Amino acid sequence: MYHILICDDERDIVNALKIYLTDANYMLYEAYNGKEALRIVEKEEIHLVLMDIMMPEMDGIEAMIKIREKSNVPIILLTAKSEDTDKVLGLTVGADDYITKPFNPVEVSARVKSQLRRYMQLGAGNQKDQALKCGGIELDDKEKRVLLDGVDVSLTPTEYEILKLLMQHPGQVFSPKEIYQKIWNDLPYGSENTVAVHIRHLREKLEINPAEPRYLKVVWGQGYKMEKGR
Amino acid sequence: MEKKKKLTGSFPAKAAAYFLLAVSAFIVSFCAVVIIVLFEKGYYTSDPMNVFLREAEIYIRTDAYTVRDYLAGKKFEYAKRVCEGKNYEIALLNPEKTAWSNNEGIIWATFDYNRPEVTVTAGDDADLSGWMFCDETITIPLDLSGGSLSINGCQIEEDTRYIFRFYFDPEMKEHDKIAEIYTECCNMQQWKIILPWICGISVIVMLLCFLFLMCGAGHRNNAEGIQRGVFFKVPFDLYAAFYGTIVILLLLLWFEVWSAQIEYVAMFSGFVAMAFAVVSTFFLTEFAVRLKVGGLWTNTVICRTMRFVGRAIRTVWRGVCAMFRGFPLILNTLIAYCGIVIMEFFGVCLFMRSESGLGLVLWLIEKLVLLLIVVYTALMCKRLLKGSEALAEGRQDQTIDTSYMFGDLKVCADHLNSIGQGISKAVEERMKSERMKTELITNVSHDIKTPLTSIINYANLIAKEPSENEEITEYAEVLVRQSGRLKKLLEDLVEASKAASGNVDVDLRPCEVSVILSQAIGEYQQKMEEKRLELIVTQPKEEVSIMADGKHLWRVFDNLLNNICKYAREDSRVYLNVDTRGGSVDIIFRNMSKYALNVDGEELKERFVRGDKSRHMEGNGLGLSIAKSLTELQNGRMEVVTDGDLFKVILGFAKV
Repeated sequence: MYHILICDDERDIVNALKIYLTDANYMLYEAYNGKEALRIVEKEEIHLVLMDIMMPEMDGIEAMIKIREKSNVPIILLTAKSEDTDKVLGLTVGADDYITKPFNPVEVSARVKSQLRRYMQLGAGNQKDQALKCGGIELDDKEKRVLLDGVDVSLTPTEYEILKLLMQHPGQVFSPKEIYQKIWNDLPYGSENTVAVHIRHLREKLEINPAEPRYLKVVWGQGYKMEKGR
Repeated sequence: MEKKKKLTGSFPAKAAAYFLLAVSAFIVSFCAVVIIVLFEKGYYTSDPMNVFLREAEIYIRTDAYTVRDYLAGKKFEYAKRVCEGKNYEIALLNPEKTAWSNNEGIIWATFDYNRPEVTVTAGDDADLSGWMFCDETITIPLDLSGGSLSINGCQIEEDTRYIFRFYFDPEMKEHDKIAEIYTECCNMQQWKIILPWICGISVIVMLLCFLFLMCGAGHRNNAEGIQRGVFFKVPFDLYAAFYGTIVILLLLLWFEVWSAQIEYVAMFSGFVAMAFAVVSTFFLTEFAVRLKVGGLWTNTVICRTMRFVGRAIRTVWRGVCAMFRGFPLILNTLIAYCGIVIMEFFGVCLFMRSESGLGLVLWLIEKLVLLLIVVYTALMCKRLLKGSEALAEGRQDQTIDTSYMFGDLKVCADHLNSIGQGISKAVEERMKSERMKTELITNVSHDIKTPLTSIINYANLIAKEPSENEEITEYAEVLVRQSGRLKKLLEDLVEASKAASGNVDVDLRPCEVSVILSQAIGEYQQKMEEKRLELIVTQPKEEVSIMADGKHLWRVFDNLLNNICKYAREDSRVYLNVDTRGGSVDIIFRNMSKYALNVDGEELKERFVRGDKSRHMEGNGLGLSIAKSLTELQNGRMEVVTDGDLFKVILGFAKV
């Protein structure tokens, strides 16, 4: 049983989220401003917080800072502020994920699920020695297995090789040409497009929203990289 | 203070001062003349005896010649009587046996030279206490025809110089000319000391009177401030000329009488000086009054004339300037040209025949002046050119320096400057309003997003709800689709306004064109295959890089490729070319439109314009606008060309 706190000053949105997150495994709490959220977090054992930023009394950022003083419970910010600077601020202050309004309900539930799995099942120190890890992605080269938030992901051999290459060098940008040379062991003669297609497929399998990837990032005009694990 | 004012203002005091001034001027001049005469006579430089001797000599010499003549005629008796009743005696001395101290060497004398009291006591240190003498060497021109002359047993040679010695009696018992001279000399001895004192005191008095009069000039007791005299209206230079004439006349008069008797000269000089002093003081008083009142310079004929001439010249110049300003520029230029030609023509005519180099020099000077004018004009034109260039390139903040400009050039520069100012003001205002619009849109979009979230969510819930009524499901789907569009529109709107106002961070880095192309293909391959579009990419073999911000560049590609997927005719080919001719990299997107394109390319780039001008399709018409703004933010250019159903977008970036 996971305890989820939904905090938004808009009751309709809270209700809608409650409907979408209806699951036998979820126990939902609701709050309508930052102070209420804090009170509930202190009183109950909460496993995940979904929080709006612009709220009366105490805003989401402030509430999040207060929560972070005591707990490392995953917090997903859910806000109408879509500027890059707002996202960066939220994530640096302590949010684990950031969803902009108007949101896709499916995406919200997927992200909630992902955060819960990571928090509950893959606690700190749970990492295998050989496994390459990046955020919620785990790559075990011995078993040739890739886990996303603890769930197996089935990849083609090429996709697996590309992912391995990128995960071995997190943060490093590989151009399509380099990737082609390393994976296919061949000189690329205009066949870099294949790489791009494979990457897209990888992204579709690993990311909740392939247009806004969290892990496998496109550096436009230069290549691809794996985000350094947060 | 009160007293002084009273004194300087009182008429009797002034009259007295004038009188004193006149008298002292007379005295000064008189004394000065006398002192000069005395100085010339040697009263100040040599001892009194010498002066007396010099004065007396002229009389004594006459007697010496008489004695000589008598002696030559052997009329000794007559010779003896020459000095009777006079204060002096004459002796003839042998030049070889002369001695100062005694009577030795005397050949003959008008007195009994063996008398003891006649012993000479004086020489250089003579006073008039004892007898004294002076020597005079005189040739005795004897015409001793055959015979010889012997005086007192001494043979007199023919044509030999003998010494005549004069002995004076210091008591001056007799009343003769010598006694007179002697008395005068003695008097002068006293006067020569007194006179300079008198002269000096008089000078001081004169100066004091003069100062007093100057201070008092224009003051009158019964009136306040500076009073103007009767002659005040007379121009000062006329007045000065009058004064100068008088002074010159006085000087001429003075020179006229200079050669006459000393007393007369002194008296006359005194009167001239008196007149001079009075006239000068009078003139200077007037001068002082004018100085005190002010306007000394303006009340002169010269000044008035110059003013008049100046005014006339200015009027004429203004008239000429106005006339030329009235003419059009071309006419002015022609007039100037004709002037130069006529000048040169006359020059040629005048100096063609002459051999002198003057013509050539003048011609060179003229050419030099002309060169300066031409260079000046060229420089000014260059300034104008630079200014207009800056305007054309959009640098409105660069103003043209109008210093040293004149005429039409200045007018032109001023016009250009005001155009620049107008443009920059307009641009600034436009940027400001764009920014405000962006802020407004961003803020409003935040407020719209919250209710929109609820709408989308509940529409989704309705759509998912199993319903027996199929129509409700259908309606719910419309709701979901349209609210989704609204969401996209909102996001695009914010982005478009941000991009248009430049309110976006741009991080330009070298981007490889081939990489972004292959990435784009990777992203869109599937989508195009679904639409049955065949993507044909051609690019140069060598690596080409452009300066761009990858994120924004992708956004541009995304929008363009999205458009293609939306609007390209199905089962057609889409061309993606890279052209690197001429220093810039052109990325060209070409596709056949599904619908007839009834708007031109330029219009398509504007916000909310779509090719079909109807709004029944997906998309909101912001894509091209965003793409264009973002391209321009990355210093690139975007062109949209439509040709029939061919839709072509060209992205141009500078090659790295």
